[in-house]
Amino acid sequence: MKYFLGMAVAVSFFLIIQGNSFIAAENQSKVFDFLPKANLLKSGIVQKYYIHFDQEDEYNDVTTVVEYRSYQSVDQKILTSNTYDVAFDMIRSSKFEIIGNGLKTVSEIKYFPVPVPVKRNTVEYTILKPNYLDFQKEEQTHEISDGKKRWSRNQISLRDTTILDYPGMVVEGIYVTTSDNDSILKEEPYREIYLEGLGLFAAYFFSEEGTYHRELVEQIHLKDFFKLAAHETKRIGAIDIDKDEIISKDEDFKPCGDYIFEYYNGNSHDVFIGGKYAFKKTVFPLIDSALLFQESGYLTFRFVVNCKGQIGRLVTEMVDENFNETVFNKKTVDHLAGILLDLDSWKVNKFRGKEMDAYTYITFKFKDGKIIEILP
Amino acid sequence: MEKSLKYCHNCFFILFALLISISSCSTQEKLYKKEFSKGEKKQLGKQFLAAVGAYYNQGIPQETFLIQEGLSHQPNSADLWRELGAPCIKRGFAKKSYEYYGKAVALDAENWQGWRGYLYLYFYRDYEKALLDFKATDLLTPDFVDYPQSTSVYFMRAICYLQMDSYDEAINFFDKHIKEELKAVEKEYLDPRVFLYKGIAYFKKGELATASSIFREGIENENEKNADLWFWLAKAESEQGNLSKALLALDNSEKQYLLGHFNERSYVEEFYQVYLSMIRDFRNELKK
Repeated sequence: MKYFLGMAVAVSFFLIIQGNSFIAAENQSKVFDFLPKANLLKSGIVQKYYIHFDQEDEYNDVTTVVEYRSYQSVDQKILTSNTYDVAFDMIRSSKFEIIGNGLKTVSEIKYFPVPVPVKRNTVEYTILKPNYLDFQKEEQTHEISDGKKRWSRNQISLRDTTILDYPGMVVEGIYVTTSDNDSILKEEPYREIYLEGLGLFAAYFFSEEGTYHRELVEQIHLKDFFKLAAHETKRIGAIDIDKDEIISKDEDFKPCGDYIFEYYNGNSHDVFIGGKYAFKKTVFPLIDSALLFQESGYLTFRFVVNCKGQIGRLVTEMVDENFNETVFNKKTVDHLAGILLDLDSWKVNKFRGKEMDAYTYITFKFKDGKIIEILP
Repeated sequence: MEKSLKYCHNCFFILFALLISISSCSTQEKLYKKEFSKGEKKQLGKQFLAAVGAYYNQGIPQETFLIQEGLSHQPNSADLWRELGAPCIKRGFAKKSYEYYGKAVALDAENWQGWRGYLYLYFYRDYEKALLDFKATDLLTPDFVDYPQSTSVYFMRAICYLQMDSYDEAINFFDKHIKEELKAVEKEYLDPRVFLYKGIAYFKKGELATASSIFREGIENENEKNADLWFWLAKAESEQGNLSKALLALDNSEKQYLLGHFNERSYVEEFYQVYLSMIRDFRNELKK
């Protein structure tokens, strides 16, 4: 019996000590006072921030965007911190060494997840001066370079504070942007507020254009964040060759580039050579009325016209006259799709003088089995 | 003694459970979450709306999530629902467009019902539904003429009637539109499409001389720089048997077209849009 009781108490204390040993050890560095709580850091925690930008203009419009920043430290020596945009795409990845009461940057990489016409490369910064932050020594200099510009973060002062009953530390300094010929481009003050157990709670960045105010709005466990990040939200209208029901065979079809524009991004409104007049003139004689049935509504084909004027990735959307989802007779859909796929006068759109791939759509408007309009 | 031991055993068991429970609690921290006041939520809805378009391209996931973040604070923001609808309408997604614009109208009819009417008219060519929205807009704001998407409701009502073959109603609304416009601008700033469509209404009514006269008035107002007006003048003259005048008008139409003076509209085809091959086909037809 004594043996059993002794074991029980020992196991219980072991469990508690195990859970908190991280905390006890961390107290050695002030860094852990001003990061999210130790057990959260161990499993990974994500801080959700709102960044309010108060523009210095006559309108005083304030805009707000969302950013997520993860923190994880499994060994108390290295802190990894990734920054994600509102759609959970990683935009920055940083690794710090925890030395003394400060953070020294080991690596910093910037990502460009948002697809744009001109592909942007990932930027891995060269760390020129690693001292990112220190909660004991007031003056610190951190500097990174992308080979063209340098950004230095010059910590100037520290002072204690208390917010929402949390003890904290206010860190102030100046960000300096320098060109490759050493001329100073910008000097922008910053103020960061770190609270015990919460980490970075608020930050202010005073640029010439206005003030950025970052505020912590929520903490999320890293594993829960990854669940949120596993969403399937895509660009509206993007056709996914793996998931969408593509009705064209596309054996010879390939987009020319990585980025597919919208039909209205380019130099022309027309998607067919000669415009809708020529399209109707070509298509109407090809329509077999025996394959149209007593249906009303909108039958839309969305597809890609590539830089060579070929079309592919044809998908459909069908609604009735009141915009409720409906299904048109398959014979009608196949017939019209076949006509579209056989046409060879698709107009290649140009963006900045260069032929491009573009999404477009054509809607057949039906009334009682007759095509009464072709849209848009 | 045995009872006491049993009691002691129970105590230790409870202590053990308590310690396990404490240990477990220490790993399940209560996470921070800011509670926003009603006023802050309202302001945030506006701020997310202001960020839409300023930071991300329309329709990409970043924009969608930003709008949804705004809606999490302001679910009744008509403007945010409308923003969700904007890329859908441009990219041919009728169901989603209808759903999102419908929500915007339900929440703020005064600002969005006319807009929806504009979409019914130009994107879906549904003249009955467009008219219902335009009429409702007039009732909501009886003291002035609304300009959804910078287009007068009178003008758009006139187009609806024109497309529904109600030519007198169309002409009536074109005249109301012209009268209203002339309160603010000189005649030379009138949109050439006003002359074009009003002329077409007379043309379709069979009043060809009046139609020709209106097309000419429009051409003069545009310093001759409008392919569409010349084209329809050619049609009116041709119908009146004036072949040489019709051919001359077609030459002018082609000339102006090639100079880039023709009507077109972003995202959709303009009503009665003229194309180069249309002008040439008509000339060939007349020359037969």
